[in-house]
Amino acid sequence: MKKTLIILVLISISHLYVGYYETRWAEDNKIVFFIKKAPTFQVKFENIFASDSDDRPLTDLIMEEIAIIRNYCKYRLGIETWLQTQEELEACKMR
Amino acid sequence: MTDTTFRTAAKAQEVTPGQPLVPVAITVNDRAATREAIIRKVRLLGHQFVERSQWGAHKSKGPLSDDWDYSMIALHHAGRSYVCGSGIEQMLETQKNQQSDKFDDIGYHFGIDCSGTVYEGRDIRFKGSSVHLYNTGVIGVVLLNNLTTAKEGNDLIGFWRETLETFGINTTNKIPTSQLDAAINLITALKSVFVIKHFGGHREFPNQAAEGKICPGNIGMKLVKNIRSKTLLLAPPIS
Repeated sequence: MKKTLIILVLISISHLYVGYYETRWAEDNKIVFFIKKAPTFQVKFENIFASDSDDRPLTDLIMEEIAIIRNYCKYRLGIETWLQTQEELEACKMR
Repeated sequence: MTDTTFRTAAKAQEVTPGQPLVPVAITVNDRAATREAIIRKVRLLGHQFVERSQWGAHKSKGPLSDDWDYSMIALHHAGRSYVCGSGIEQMLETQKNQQSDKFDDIGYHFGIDCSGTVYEGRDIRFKGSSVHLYNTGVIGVVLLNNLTTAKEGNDLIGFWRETLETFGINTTNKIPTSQLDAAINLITALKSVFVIKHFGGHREFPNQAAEGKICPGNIGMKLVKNIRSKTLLLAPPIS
Protein backbone atom coordinates (compact mmCIF):
# COMPACT_ATOMS: atom_id res chain seq x y z
CA MET A 1 0.00 0.00 0.00
CA LYS A 2 2.80 2.35 1.01
CA LYS A 3 4.75 1.50 -2.16
CA THR A 4 1.70 2.12 -4.32
CA LEU A 5 1.18 5.46 -2.67
CA ILE A 6 4.80 6.45 -3.25
CA ILE A 7 4.57 5.39 -6.89
CA LEU A 8 1.37 7.39 -7.34
CA VAL A 9 2.96 10.47 -5.80
CA LEU A 10 6.03 10.10 -8.05
CA ILE A 11 3.83 9.72 -11.13
CA SER A 12 1.83 12.80 -10.16
CA ILE A 13 4.99 14.84 -9.60
CA SER A 14 6.49 13.74 -12.90
CA HIS A 15 3.21 14.49 -14.66
CA LEU A 16 3.24 17.97 -13.19
CA TYR A 17 6.91 18.70 -13.82
CA VAL A 18 8.03 16.73 -16.90
CA GLY A 19 7.07 17.83 -20.38
CA TYR A 20 8.15 17.06 -23.91
CA TYR A 21 8.01 18.36 -27.44
CA GLU A 22 8.76 16.84 -30.81
CA THR A 23 11.24 18.60 -33.06
CA ARG A 24 9.98 19.86 -36.43
CA TRP A 25 13.14 19.34 -38.42
CA ALA A 26 13.06 18.26 -42.04
CA GLU A 27 14.14 14.75 -41.05
CA ASP A 28 15.28 12.59 -38.11
CA ASN A 29 12.93 14.20 -35.63
CA LYS A 30 13.12 13.32 -31.97
CA ILE A 31 11.28 13.86 -28.74
CA VAL A 32 12.89 16.26 -26.27
CA PHE A 33 11.98 15.93 -22.60
CA PHE A 34 12.38 18.81 -20.19
CA ILE A 35 11.64 19.85 -16.63
CA LYS A 36 8.77 22.32 -16.54
CA LYS A 37 9.48 25.62 -14.86
CA ALA A 38 5.95 25.70 -13.45
CA PRO A 39 3.63 22.80 -12.61
CA THR A 40 0.89 21.93 -15.08
CA PHE A 41 -0.86 18.77 -16.20
CA GLN A 42 -0.05 19.64 -19.79
CA VAL A 43 2.67 17.22 -20.88
CA LYS A 44 2.95 17.72 -24.64
CA PHE A 45 4.24 21.08 -25.84
CA GLU A 46 5.11 22.60 -29.18
CA ASN A 47 8.39 24.33 -29.88
CA ILE A 48 7.91 25.98 -33.23
CA PHE A 49 11.53 27.13 -33.23
CA ALA A 50 12.85 23.55 -33.41
CA SER A 51 12.30 23.66 -37.14
CA ASP A 52 14.38 23.76 -40.32
CA SER A 53 12.39 26.72 -41.60
CA ASP A 54 13.78 30.16 -41.02
CA ASP A 55 12.13 31.86 -38.06
CA ARG A 56 9.48 34.45 -38.85
CA PRO A 57 9.39 37.84 -37.15
CA LEU A 58 6.75 38.57 -34.54
CA THR A 59 4.74 40.64 -37.00
CA ASP A 60 4.25 37.61 -39.26
CA LEU A 61 2.97 35.29 -36.55
CA ILE A 62 -0.73 34.52 -36.22
CA MET A 63 -2.53 34.57 -32.86
CA GLU A 64 -2.54 30.78 -32.61
CA GLU A 65 1.24 30.64 -33.01
CA ILE A 66 1.72 33.39 -30.44
CA ALA A 67 -0.38 31.41 -27.97
CA ILE A 68 1.74 28.30 -28.60
CA ILE A 69 4.97 30.24 -28.07
CA ARG A 70 3.70 31.91 -24.89
CA ASN A 71 2.74 28.54 -23.48
CA TYR A 72 6.10 26.98 -24.39
CA CYS A 73 8.00 29.99 -23.09
CA LYS A 74 6.23 29.89 -19.76
CA TYR A 75 6.60 26.21 -19.00
CA ARG A 76 9.87 25.38 -20.77
CA LEU A 77 11.82 28.55 -19.99
CA GLY A 78 9.93 30.08 -17.09
CA ILE A 79 9.33 33.31 -18.99
CA GLU A 80 5.85 34.77 -18.82
CA THR A 81 5.40 37.25 -21.62
CA TRP A 82 2.70 38.81 -23.78
CA LEU A 83 5.08 38.74 -26.75
CA GLN A 84 4.64 42.36 -27.65
CA THR A 85 8.16 42.95 -28.92
CA GLN A 86 10.65 41.07 -31.07
CA GLU A 87 13.06 41.00 -28.10
CA GLU A 88 10.49 39.12 -26.05
CA LEU A 89 10.12 36.65 -28.90
CA GLU A 90 13.89 36.18 -29.13
CA ALA A 91 14.01 35.37 -25.42
CA CYS A 92 11.59 32.50 -26.04
CA LYS A 93 13.94 30.94 -28.60
CA MET A 94 16.57 30.04 -26.00
CA ARG A 95 17.20 26.37 -25.52
CA MET B 1 16.39 29.84 -74.65
CA THR B 2 12.64 29.23 -75.08
CA ASP B 3 9.87 30.20 -77.48
CA THR B 4 8.31 32.34 -74.75
CA THR B 5 7.14 35.80 -75.79
CA PHE B 6 8.43 38.56 -73.54
CA ARG B 7 6.40 41.69 -72.91
CA THR B 8 7.84 45.07 -72.16
CA ALA B 9 6.46 48.41 -71.15
CA ALA B 10 9.37 50.22 -72.75
CA LYS B 11 8.27 52.90 -75.21
CA ALA B 12 9.15 52.59 -78.84
CA GLN B 13 11.33 55.33 -80.14
CA GLU B 14 11.75 56.74 -83.57
CA VAL B 15 15.08 56.04 -85.18
CA THR B 16 16.36 59.20 -86.75
CA PRO B 17 19.20 58.84 -89.21
CA GLY B 18 22.35 60.33 -87.79
CA GLN B 19 21.03 60.43 -84.22
CA PRO B 20 22.39 57.95 -81.65
CA LEU B 21 19.95 55.41 -80.21
CA VAL B 22 19.02 55.82 -76.55
CA PRO B 23 19.38 52.43 -74.86
CA VAL B 24 16.17 51.13 -73.32
CA ALA B 25 16.59 48.95 -70.24
CA ILE B 26 14.30 45.94 -70.24
CA THR B 27 13.93 43.77 -67.17
CA VAL B 28 13.14 40.17 -67.99
CA ASN B 29 11.91 37.79 -65.32
CA ASP B 30 13.95 34.78 -66.28
CA ARG B 31 13.39 32.65 -63.21
CA ALA B 32 10.87 30.37 -64.87
CA ALA B 33 13.28 29.96 -67.77
CA THR B 34 16.07 29.09 -65.34
CA ARG B 35 13.89 26.44 -63.71
CA GLU B 36 13.22 25.03 -67.16
CA ALA B 37 16.94 25.11 -67.98
CA ILE B 38 17.71 23.02 -64.88
CA ILE B 39 15.09 20.45 -65.86
CA ARG B 40 16.41 20.20 -69.41
CA LYS B 41 20.01 19.92 -68.25
CA VAL B 42 19.19 17.09 -65.84
CA ARG B 43 17.39 15.25 -68.65
CA LEU B 44 20.25 15.93 -71.02
CA LEU B 45 22.62 14.34 -68.53
CA GLY B 46 20.57 11.15 -68.73
CA HIS B 47 18.20 11.29 -65.79
CA GLN B 48 14.46 11.26 -65.62
CA PHE B 49 13.12 14.50 -64.13
CA VAL B 50 9.69 14.48 -62.51
CA GLU B 51 8.06 17.86 -62.06
CA ARG B 52 5.80 18.65 -59.10
CA SER B 53 2.62 18.21 -61.07
CA GLN B 54 3.80 14.82 -62.31
CA TRP B 55 4.24 13.35 -58.85
CA GLY B 56 1.02 14.90 -57.61
CA ALA B 57 2.47 17.44 -55.21
CA HIS B 58 -0.04 19.31 -53.07
CA LYS B 59 -0.18 23.06 -53.28
CA SER B 60 1.66 25.08 -50.67
CA LYS B 61 -0.43 25.68 -47.53
CA GLY B 62 0.61 29.30 -47.39
CA PRO B 63 2.71 31.94 -49.12
CA LEU B 64 6.40 31.11 -49.57
CA SER B 65 9.31 33.55 -49.51
CA ASP B 66 11.16 34.26 -52.72
CA ASP B 67 14.83 33.39 -52.98
CA TRP B 68 17.38 33.45 -55.79
CA ASP B 69 21.11 33.86 -56.46
CA TYR B 70 21.79 30.52 -54.84
CA SER B 71 25.41 29.91 -53.91
CA MET B 72 25.16 26.80 -51.72
CA ILE B 73 23.74 23.30 -51.88
CA ALA B 74 22.77 21.34 -48.77
CA LEU B 75 22.57 17.57 -49.07
CA HIS B 76 20.07 15.68 -46.92
CA HIS B 77 19.04 12.12 -46.46
CA ALA B 78 15.33 11.49 -46.06
CA GLY B 79 15.53 10.10 -42.53
CA ARG B 80 16.05 6.90 -40.64
CA SER B 81 12.62 5.53 -41.52
CA TYR B 82 13.41 5.50 -45.24
CA VAL B 83 14.81 2.76 -47.49
CA CYS B 84 15.03 2.64 -51.28
CA GLY B 85 11.55 2.58 -52.75
CA SER B 86 9.10 4.28 -55.09
CA GLY B 87 10.29 7.87 -55.48
CA ILE B 88 6.83 9.27 -56.14
CA GLU B 89 5.42 7.69 -53.00
CA GLN B 90 8.41 8.89 -51.00
CA MET B 91 8.06 12.45 -52.26
CA LEU B 92 4.35 12.39 -51.39
CA GLU B 93 5.09 10.94 -47.95
CA THR B 94 7.80 13.53 -47.31
CA GLN B 95 5.55 16.39 -48.37
CA LYS B 96 2.69 15.05 -46.26
CA ASN B 97 4.91 14.78 -43.18
CA GLN B 98 6.46 18.19 -43.65
CA GLN B 99 3.19 19.94 -44.43
CA SER B 100 1.32 18.33 -41.54
CA ASP B 101 2.55 20.67 -38.87
CA LYS B 102 5.92 22.03 -39.87
CA PHE B 103 6.22 23.71 -43.23
CA ASP B 104 3.92 25.24 -45.82
CA ASP B 105 5.39 22.95 -48.45
CA ILE B 106 8.02 20.24 -48.83
CA GLY B 107 11.24 21.77 -47.52
CA TYR B 108 13.66 20.49 -50.17
CA HIS B 109 14.04 21.83 -53.71
CA PHE B 110 14.92 18.47 -55.22
CA GLY B 111 14.68 14.81 -54.33
CA ILE B 112 16.61 11.89 -55.83
CA ASP B 113 15.39 8.33 -55.53
CA CYS B 114 17.54 5.20 -55.57
CA SER B 115 16.99 4.65 -59.31
CA GLY B 116 18.50 8.06 -60.09
CA THR B 117 15.25 9.83 -60.94
CA VAL B 118 15.25 13.49 -59.92
CA TYR B 119 12.07 15.03 -58.46
CA GLU B 120 11.19 18.68 -58.23
CA GLY B 121 10.41 19.54 -54.62
CA ARG B 122 9.77 23.13 -53.60
CA ASP B 123 9.84 25.37 -56.66
CA ILE B 124 13.38 26.74 -57.03
CA ARG B 125 11.95 30.27 -57.09
CA PHE B 126 11.09 29.92 -53.39
CA LYS B 127 13.31 29.74 -50.35
CA GLY B 128 13.73 26.24 -48.98
CA SER B 129 13.09 24.99 -45.45
CA SER B 130 15.87 22.53 -44.92
CA VAL B 131 18.61 24.26 -42.91
CA HIS B 132 17.42 26.04 -39.77
CA LEU B 133 18.12 29.79 -39.89
CA TYR B 134 20.37 29.28 -42.90
CA ASN B 135 18.02 28.79 -45.84
CA THR B 136 18.78 31.96 -47.78
CA GLY B 137 20.82 31.14 -50.87
CA VAL B 138 20.77 27.41 -50.11
CA ILE B 139 19.33 24.76 -52.43
CA GLY B 140 18.11 21.73 -50.50
CA VAL B 141 18.60 18.32 -52.13
CA VAL B 142 17.36 15.14 -50.46
CA LEU B 143 18.46 11.61 -51.23
CA LEU B 144 15.39 9.43 -50.66
CA ASN B 145 17.25 6.93 -48.53
CA ASN B 146 18.54 6.42 -45.01
CA LEU B 147 22.25 7.16 -44.97
CA THR B 148 23.00 6.86 -41.26
CA THR B 149 25.08 4.19 -39.58
CA ALA B 150 23.66 2.20 -36.68
CA LYS B 151 25.45 4.14 -33.95
CA GLU B 152 24.07 7.53 -35.00
CA GLY B 153 21.27 9.17 -33.11
CA ASN B 154 22.03 8.06 -29.54
CA ASP B 155 18.47 6.91 -29.04
CA LEU B 156 16.31 3.82 -28.98
CA ILE B 157 16.45 3.42 -32.77
CA GLY B 158 20.24 3.56 -32.69
CA PHE B 159 20.37 1.09 -29.81
CA TRP B 160 18.05 -1.31 -31.64
CA ARG B 161 20.08 -1.09 -34.85
CA GLU B 162 23.34 -1.67 -33.00
CA THR B 163 21.80 -4.70 -31.32
CA LEU B 164 20.74 -6.09 -34.70
CA GLU B 165 24.20 -5.50 -36.12
CA THR B 166 25.83 -7.42 -33.24
CA PHE B 167 23.76 -10.38 -34.43
CA GLY B 168 25.09 -9.90 -37.95
CA ILE B 169 22.01 -8.18 -39.35
CA ASN B 170 23.11 -5.25 -41.48
CA THR B 171 21.04 -2.09 -40.99
CA THR B 172 23.34 0.29 -42.89
CA ASN B 173 22.44 1.17 -46.47
CA LYS B 174 24.75 1.78 -49.40
CA ILE B 175 24.13 4.56 -51.87
CA PRO B 176 23.15 3.04 -55.21
CA THR B 177 25.39 4.13 -58.10
CA SER B 178 22.42 5.53 -60.01
CA GLN B 179 21.49 7.75 -57.04
CA LEU B 180 25.09 8.90 -56.67
CA ASP B 181 25.37 9.72 -60.39
CA ALA B 182 22.10 11.65 -60.29
CA ALA B 183 23.33 13.70 -57.32
CA ILE B 184 26.50 14.67 -59.18
CA ASN B 185 24.60 15.47 -62.39
CA LEU B 186 22.00 17.53 -60.54
CA ILE B 187 24.83 19.56 -59.03
CA THR B 188 26.29 19.99 -62.53
CA ALA B 189 22.90 21.26 -63.73
CA LEU B 190 22.61 23.66 -60.83
CA LYS B 191 26.15 24.92 -61.39
CA SER B 192 25.24 25.65 -65.00
CA VAL B 193 22.72 28.30 -63.95
CA PHE B 194 23.86 29.47 -60.49
CA VAL B 195 27.25 30.47 -59.12
CA ILE B 196 27.46 27.63 -56.63
CA LYS B 197 30.45 27.86 -54.31
CA HIS B 198 29.60 25.67 -51.33
CA PHE B 199 28.32 22.15 -50.97
CA GLY B 200 27.78 20.37 -47.68
CA GLY B 201 25.80 17.90 -45.67
CA HIS B 202 22.95 19.33 -43.60
CA ARG B 203 24.84 18.97 -40.31
CA GLU B 204 27.87 20.83 -41.65
CA PHE B 205 25.98 24.11 -41.96
CA PRO B 206 26.33 26.61 -39.11
CA ASN B 207 24.72 25.58 -35.81
CA GLN B 208 23.07 22.47 -37.22
CA ALA B 209 25.21 19.87 -35.45
CA ALA B 210 24.81 21.81 -32.19
CA GLU B 211 21.05 21.33 -32.55
CA GLY B 212 21.58 17.58 -32.69
CA LYS B 213 21.19 17.10 -36.43
CA ILE B 214 22.70 13.88 -37.77
CA CYS B 215 21.56 14.38 -41.39
CA PRO B 216 22.77 13.27 -43.92
CA GLY B 217 24.31 10.49 -41.82
CA ASN B 218 27.84 9.10 -41.84
CA ILE B 219 27.29 7.38 -45.20
CA GLY B 220 25.89 10.61 -46.61
CA MET B 221 28.89 12.56 -45.31
CA LYS B 222 31.29 10.23 -47.13
CA LEU B 223 29.37 11.02 -50.29
CA VAL B 224 29.50 14.75 -49.56
CA LYS B 225 33.29 14.67 -49.23
CA ASN B 226 33.56 12.57 -52.39
CA ILE B 227 31.39 15.02 -54.35
CA ARG B 228 33.33 18.00 -53.01
CA SER B 229 36.59 16.53 -54.26
CA LYS B 230 35.05 15.84 -57.67
CA THR B 231 33.34 19.20 -58.10
CA LEU B 232 35.93 21.36 -56.29
CA LEU B 233 33.16 22.97 -54.28
CA LEU B 234 33.94 24.32 -50.84
CA ALA B 235 32.54 23.17 -47.51
CA PRO B 236 29.77 25.36 -46.06
CA PRO B 237 30.82 28.57 -44.31
CA ILE B 238 31.48 28.23 -40.59
CA SER B 239 29.14 31.09 -39.63
